[in-house]
Amino acid sequence: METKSSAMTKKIATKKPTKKKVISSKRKGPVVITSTGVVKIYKSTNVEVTALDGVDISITEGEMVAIMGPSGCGKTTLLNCLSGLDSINSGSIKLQNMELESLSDDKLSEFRAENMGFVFQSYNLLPVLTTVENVELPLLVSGTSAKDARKKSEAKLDDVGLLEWKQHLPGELSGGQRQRATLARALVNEPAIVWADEPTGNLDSTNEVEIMDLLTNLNKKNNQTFVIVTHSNYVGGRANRIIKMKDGKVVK
Amino acid sequence: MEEKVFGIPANTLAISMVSILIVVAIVIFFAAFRRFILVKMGTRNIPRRKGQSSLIVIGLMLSSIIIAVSLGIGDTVRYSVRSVVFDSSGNVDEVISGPGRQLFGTEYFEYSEFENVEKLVSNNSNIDGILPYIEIDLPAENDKSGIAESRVQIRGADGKYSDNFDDIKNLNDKLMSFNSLNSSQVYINAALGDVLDLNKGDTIGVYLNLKKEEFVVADVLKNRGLAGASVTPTILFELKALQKLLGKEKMITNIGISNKGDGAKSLELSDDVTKFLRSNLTNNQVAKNFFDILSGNGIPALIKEEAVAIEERDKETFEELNRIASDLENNKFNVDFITSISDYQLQLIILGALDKAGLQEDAGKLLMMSGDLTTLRVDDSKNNGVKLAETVATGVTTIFSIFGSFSIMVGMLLIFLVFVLLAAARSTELGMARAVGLKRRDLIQLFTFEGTVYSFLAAMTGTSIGIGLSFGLVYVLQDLIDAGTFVIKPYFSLTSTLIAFSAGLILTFITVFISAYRASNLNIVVAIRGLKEEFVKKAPDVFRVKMINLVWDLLFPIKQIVRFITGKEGRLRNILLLIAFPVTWPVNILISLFKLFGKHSYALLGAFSLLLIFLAFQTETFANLSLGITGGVLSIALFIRFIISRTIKDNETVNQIAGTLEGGMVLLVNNLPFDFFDSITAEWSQPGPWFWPLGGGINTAAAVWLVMSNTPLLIFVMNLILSRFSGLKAVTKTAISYPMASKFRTGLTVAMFSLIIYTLMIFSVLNGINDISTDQPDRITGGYDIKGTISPEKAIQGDIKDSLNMDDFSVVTGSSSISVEVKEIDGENKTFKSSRLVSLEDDFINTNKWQLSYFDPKYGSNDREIWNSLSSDPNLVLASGSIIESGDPFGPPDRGFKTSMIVPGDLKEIQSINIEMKKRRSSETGSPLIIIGVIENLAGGTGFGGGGSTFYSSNNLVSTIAGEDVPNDTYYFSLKNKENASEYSQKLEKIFIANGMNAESLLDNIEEERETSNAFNKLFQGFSGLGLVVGVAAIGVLSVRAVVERRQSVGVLRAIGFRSSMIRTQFLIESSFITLIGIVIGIFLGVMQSYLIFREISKELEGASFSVPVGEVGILILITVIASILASVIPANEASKIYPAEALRYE
Repeated sequence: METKSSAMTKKIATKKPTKKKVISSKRKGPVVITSTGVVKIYKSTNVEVTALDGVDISITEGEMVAIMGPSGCGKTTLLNCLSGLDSINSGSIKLQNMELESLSDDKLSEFRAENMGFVFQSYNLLPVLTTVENVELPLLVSGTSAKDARKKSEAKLDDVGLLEWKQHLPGELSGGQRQRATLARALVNEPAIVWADEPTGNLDSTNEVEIMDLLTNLNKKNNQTFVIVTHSNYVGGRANRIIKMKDGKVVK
Repeated sequence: MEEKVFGIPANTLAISMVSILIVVAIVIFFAAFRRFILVKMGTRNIPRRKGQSSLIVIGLMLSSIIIAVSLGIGDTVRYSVRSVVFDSSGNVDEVISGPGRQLFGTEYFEYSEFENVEKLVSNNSNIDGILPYIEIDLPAENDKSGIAESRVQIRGADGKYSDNFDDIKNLNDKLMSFNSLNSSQVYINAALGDVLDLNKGDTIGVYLNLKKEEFVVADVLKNRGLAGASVTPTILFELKALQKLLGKEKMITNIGISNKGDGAKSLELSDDVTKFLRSNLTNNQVAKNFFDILSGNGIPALIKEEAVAIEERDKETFEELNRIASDLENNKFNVDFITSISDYQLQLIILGALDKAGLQEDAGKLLMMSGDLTTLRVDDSKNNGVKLAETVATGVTTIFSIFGSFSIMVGMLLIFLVFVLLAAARSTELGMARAVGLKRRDLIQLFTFEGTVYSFLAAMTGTSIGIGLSFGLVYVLQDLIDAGTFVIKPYFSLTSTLIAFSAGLILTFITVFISAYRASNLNIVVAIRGLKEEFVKKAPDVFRVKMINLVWDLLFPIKQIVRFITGKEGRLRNILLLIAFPVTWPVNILISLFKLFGKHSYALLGAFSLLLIFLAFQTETFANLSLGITGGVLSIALFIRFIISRTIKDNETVNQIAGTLEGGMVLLVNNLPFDFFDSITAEWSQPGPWFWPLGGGINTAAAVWLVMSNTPLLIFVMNLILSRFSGLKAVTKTAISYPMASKFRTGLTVAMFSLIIYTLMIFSVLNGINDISTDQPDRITGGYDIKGTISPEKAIQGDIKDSLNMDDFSVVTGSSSISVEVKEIDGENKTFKSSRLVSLEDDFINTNKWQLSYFDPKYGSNDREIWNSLSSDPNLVLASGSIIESGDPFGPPDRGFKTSMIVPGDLKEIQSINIEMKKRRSSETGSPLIIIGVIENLAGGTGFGGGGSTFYSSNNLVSTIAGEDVPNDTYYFSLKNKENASEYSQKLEKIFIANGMNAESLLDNIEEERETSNAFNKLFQGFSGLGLVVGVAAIGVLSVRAVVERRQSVGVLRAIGFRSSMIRTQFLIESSFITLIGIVIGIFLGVMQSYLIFREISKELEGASFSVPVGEVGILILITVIASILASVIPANEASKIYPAEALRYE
């Protein structure tokens, strides 16, 4: 089965061949993500750790940005803060001109449901739902009818080459397949921004290439903004831009 | 009499349970001492998670609570009844009364008989007092206020003896004496003082021989002993004065005997004293003649046969008969024989046996002599009272523990669930512990230590709460029972405390140990990495190894000794297994056998089931047949599973088809109508009350198995229903999928709710059937409004109607009655058994509306025609429903007449039954009569046909059988204005005060009875509902666990846009969903089971209709769902507060 699905991915890849193209820091188009002086401090009883120490970045629409840096430099924290999964201590974050701090928890959830998609290193599919049920979940949350949700999810699964696995439980899929399912889930509501935290961290190199092919193709096709946290130079290399971090600060 | 719990002497039970506990404690302490680190590891989680620990303890408490409540209520009832017995008997241990040949009214005997007895007992050192007295009931009245009491106990005691016999004291505790009363003075007891509002010096009017005489109250005495109990208003006379007033000079009604010592000590002597009195008051020569006749003609063998026939119904008589038979066989004419043969009931049974065997000549001779055998009867009244207390207490304990056993099962399921969850929660930690060198048995110990702490805390608090609760319930009970006649005193014995504590602790401990064994069974890699168990399934042993294991297990004790010597698998473990060999030996053999059969275990189960069925036929026991059939059906279903699994590869489908078949088939055979096998098993011994909870357990397990095997279907249906609510789609999808994925724990929780709802449903539905008293009260009252009873000695002279304003009444009619003895002519019951014959006035026959449950169509085509035919032929009788064996497992044995010709469930149309009836204790041959119908049991609700077996005839039969005129003792009144019944019943008592009429409004009685029975039902329902607490605790534990396990998933859901309220809703829907499945299964099973019970009831209760009380069920569902939602609110809230970024970091 593995071979079949990778063949499918290749098919997509050949249809729209990838071109490795590094665009320098400023790309045209409106800015969708801005952070100004973002500080995030983790406190426990005795210890205080500054995870983000005045981060200023801006990302424009359709950009594929990789955040890189050594372990513990604050990559994931930055992604969590930018996506509104985590709160910040000071500074401000704007997504599509919306001040995140001004949104209530519920509004933030709605905003996520409508405008964002997430991809995690350990896939985080719900083990008790089938692949297609996992994918359609974001649509159901934002109120799409069950019929439409199923249709769109199947189309998305087709995009990532998993249509014939739709009734399988995540436990029955391989790592690469699971990550593709996650990708389908992240993209099914056609979000403006897709956040990916180490999307290829658990995958071998073949699967890594496949996933990145998929990501870049989709990025181009739909003009969605991708923010990817990664250790992998290969993934970094496929991005339009790399933001390098060290000790909670953007260094480049 | 010795206290018994579940048929085992209470002290023995307490001692053995405490001993088991001590052994277990020693083993645990020893193990703890050896590896204290395990104790530390095991118990450190308890204070860490306080909420979870408290939930666990609450769940575990339940078995202790229920056992303590059951025992506590039993103790209280026993203590209260005993108090009443001691209170009313005072120093009277045995009562000697007349021979019982008088057909109605009080039986007097000559004072000279007393003098003989006095001589007799003067040399017996066990007896320290004797008192001749008269005891009767008379109406009395406060002349000043006009307050009257129709039945007051009158005692006249001989002052010469009374001072030495028992103390009577006035309210100032001053000793009083019968000797100081003159002929115009009486004492009254405080109870009567209260009722009639009388004090010292007042005048009291007493109706003697229908005329009022006045007396001065010389003093008011404390209620106790001779002065009468607190529930018995009493007037005391000096004997001679009373004899004169009654015109009964030199006559008495009783002789009281007091044994040496007080209280329990005097009670211990009761058997000896009774035997002494009986044997000495029996004519030894006549007894010897009896002995000689009974020794011949193979009669001892006949007596033994008869004994076996009644063994199951009446253990005591069985033993007596056997003793007589063996005395006869061994030619031992002794005191025991004389005592036994003087018992009139035993004589009747033996005569019946002779009659049956065609030895009419011998029977005739014995019957002739029987009258000369005894002149006085000895009744060990106090001992009997105490025995009654024991029977009632045991009955109450049994009923409560049977209803409680469902909750106990639920409690044990919770313990199991808790440990499954604990093991899951700690699997990584435990895997690590195993990786660094802990053995599996160390893990068992670790869990056991933790569980011991929970069990101990739970047993302590459970027993205390149970004791408190039993007192609470007792106070509720006290309100229900008319407090005027019976005062309940809360009591809890040390023995019961020990039993409740140890039983609760042992039950929890066993479950804890089994759960620990299961929880410790983990693979290190699987545990650390959180993989699925099937990755590491061990390859099964080869056939040769399995065979060797089986052989070893057949020689289990030897195997254990060898292992103990070689030290294989731990010496302590092996020696413990060896000590427990009565349990471990068969269990080990069974396990080996099932391992040997492997996939083909269905064949083994089938073989066992066949064996059970075979045994059932051999021993004629229904329980074995029923279990055998259930096992057999299950083995067939398992065989089908085996076949399907060979043809269908998809496991899910195999499980679905096979699970449906297994659950469905077991449900089917377990819910066959009760009379399904009647053609084979009608005569078999029926299972005891314990079979009910067992059946309930099997039903629930099968239904839950069936439902949990069909989760895909369930998810599909639920999604279909819930997807209509668009806002909830995403939430419901996850809420349903999660519990359906963890089948085991969901199944356990569902089973808990099902079990409880199942019992509660049965209560609700069966309660509804009682409502027949509202819909058709005439079936109980016969259409009359007031029933008035009088003693025939104080019979109403002339026509009762002359004393009444007949404009107020539509019917006034009466009946007379005598005690008779009855036997069947054609059937099997050829022993004369005691009964009552009631002759009804023509008006009575024509106007009553009582219905029949059986009749012979030869005498009429409907109930009315049958009633009418009584008037046309004086030899026709109707019988009360109590002539049919009811098989009531709780009450004392019913020694009255029973017919062998009708069993419950027969068609309404029967063939008439020929009987022979004679007056009590007469040696004449009886009159042949024909039973043409049986009145339904409902009529017994107001005393008509209630109590023992009773026959109803046309007007003259009583006098014919008695050979003398018998006046009416009961009157029924129909009022033109029915509303006035309560008021008119008081009026009637006043009009007929001289006759001591006791009048009661029948509708009021029904109302009172209904209230009492409803309150009892509610009480039982509440008690059974205790299990719901556990179910709810289980939901709480489950939710707490779910939140911990699914933090990451919650993070993902929050990331993809779930609002925090959606997360909360998801968890709440999840717990309500589990609860609802449980409720639905419970309701389904409950309705099905109560319908089966209803079918049985409706056989005897014509016109009863089956209905499910929808309102009550609705409330039940609502309460349960709300409770389980409440239990999961806190964990659900916690889940909703999970910060997505933090949750996602948990990897």
